[in-house]
Amino acid sequence: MDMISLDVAAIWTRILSVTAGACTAAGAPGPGTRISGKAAVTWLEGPWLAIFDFAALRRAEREVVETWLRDYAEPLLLVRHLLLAKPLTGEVFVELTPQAIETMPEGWRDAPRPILFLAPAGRTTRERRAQYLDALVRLRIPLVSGGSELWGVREFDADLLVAIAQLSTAAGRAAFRGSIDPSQLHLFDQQLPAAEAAVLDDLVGGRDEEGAVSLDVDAVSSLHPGAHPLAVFAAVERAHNRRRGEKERTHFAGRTIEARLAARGYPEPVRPCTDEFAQRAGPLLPDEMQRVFEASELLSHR
Amino acid sequence: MSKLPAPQFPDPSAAPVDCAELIARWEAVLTRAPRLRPWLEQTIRQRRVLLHESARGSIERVLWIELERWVRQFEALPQFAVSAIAVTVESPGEQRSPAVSERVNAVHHAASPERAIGESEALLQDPAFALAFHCVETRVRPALHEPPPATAWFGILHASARPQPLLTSEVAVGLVLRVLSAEWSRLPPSTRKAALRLFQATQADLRAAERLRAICDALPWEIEPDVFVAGAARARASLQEACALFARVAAVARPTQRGGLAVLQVDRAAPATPAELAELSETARKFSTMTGLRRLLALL
Repeated sequence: MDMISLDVAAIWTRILSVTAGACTAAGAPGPGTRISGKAAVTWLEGPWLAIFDFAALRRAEREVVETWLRDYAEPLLLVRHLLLAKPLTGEVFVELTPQAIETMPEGWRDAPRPILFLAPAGRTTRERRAQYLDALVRLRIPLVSGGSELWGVREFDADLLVAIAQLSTAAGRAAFRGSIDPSQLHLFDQQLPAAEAAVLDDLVGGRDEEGAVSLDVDAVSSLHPGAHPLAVFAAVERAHNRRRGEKERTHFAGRTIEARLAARGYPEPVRPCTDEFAQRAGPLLPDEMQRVFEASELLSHR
Repeated sequence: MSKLPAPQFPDPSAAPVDCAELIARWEAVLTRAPRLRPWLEQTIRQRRVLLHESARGSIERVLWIELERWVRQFEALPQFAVSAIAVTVESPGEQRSPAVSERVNAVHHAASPERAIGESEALLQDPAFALAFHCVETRVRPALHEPPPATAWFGILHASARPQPLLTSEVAVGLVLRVLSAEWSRLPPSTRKAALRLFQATQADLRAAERLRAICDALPWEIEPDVFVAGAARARASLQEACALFARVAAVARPTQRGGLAVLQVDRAAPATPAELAELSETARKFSTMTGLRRLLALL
């Protein structure tokens, strides 16, 4: 396997940022994302399915990351409640890895499961998301039968993932250590395992922090405790997107992607919040109340 | 599979309570997930070294307390996860020590003053984050009105930023805000949530005086809602200015000499003016012990 030429200074800066708290993956909730203090995996028993999309990675990058996943990282993602499908390199299809087949709980494949596409940030096009949708709609297997409500996209930093994968090998570490400022070597040895852990945690949402969207997700989820976090996120994402300019809109939820592609519901009619809902929702601020109301309405339109 | 040797547990005499039961629980976990064994051994060794460095209290006692906490985490893992840990243990060759250590580390990534200082020192050695620090000090901090204290404003500003998986000027500045806001992270979640909600409030929301009052009552600071909302608008604007300044200074760095700045996803920005670069030199003089600022100046 060929080594990738890493930009040592850039990767070192990125590692420092990650160990200090910068996220390396973001988007729809993962099994480790906490909703009102509870991990999202607790809504539906069993692991989620994760599908890495490596179509936009260069061949050498793919080889490094695939080897790392297969030989090292896959069990670490399994304990984080993610079962892996074979990474995508072109056409979108769902085929579990041998390790996933070996470790999946009995009957896991026979019911709808949450599905996460893990896509490289900055390298994924809107057309590619359409391909995810097409593939999932076409498949007639129980695993994907939850529909767009049960799938989403998380974007990850591909450059960093490649670097972490290469640095997991002795040769990769030696090459990197040989290029780094000697005064930073001790710090590098300390930070590398932490960065690797952060990358894995970010893929599953384990380090997701509180923020504007998560506040609304918590609020909607508490009003619809049975709704799966991916479905709640989809509704909240759309309520937020209505208030954003075209460039600021996100498309991480399966339902958002589906609605955009089908042009269904655009422009969407928006009802003002009702008194009955306001009483049920509790003390939210007016703007917040309206957003949560809209998300609740979207959630009930299945 | 042959039974592996027992890990080197801490000194039993230092255990807060009888440790026999705890050892038995660990042995049960290790039987289910043998791959944890080398990890546990190495983790105990590493923790012992770290505790020696900070040298407070009984190291062995602390280790027992940590072992008690970790075993609960592993016992709580679902069976399929334990199988997943165990599935690779019999593969020949190396037994990777990190295994699931990083998971545990992440779980216990509790904010402590020592950790916060360590994080910020490591981060600010880097030119990119030294630049972000400069932007925070010269644009954000002067715009903040207390109460709440600056550390709370920093935490709120960081939390209100959109999570991004790539390193942008917003992320770099946000990260510095994060490491400067250790006190914010120690506030109860309900308080942080209330502050964030108030931070999102608009002028129109000010009409809902009763609801705003209820939110303000959950805050540990004496502040009127309208004052907070106005302060939030200033803070947001200052953050935008800080990010723009960051991009302008980063644009000055020569392409062949960008060092860590090369990783930043900075949109085309007009380069910083001489006055802005002089301001950076002034910050470097003021924080003369910060190596990251010296490294940054060398890149420009």
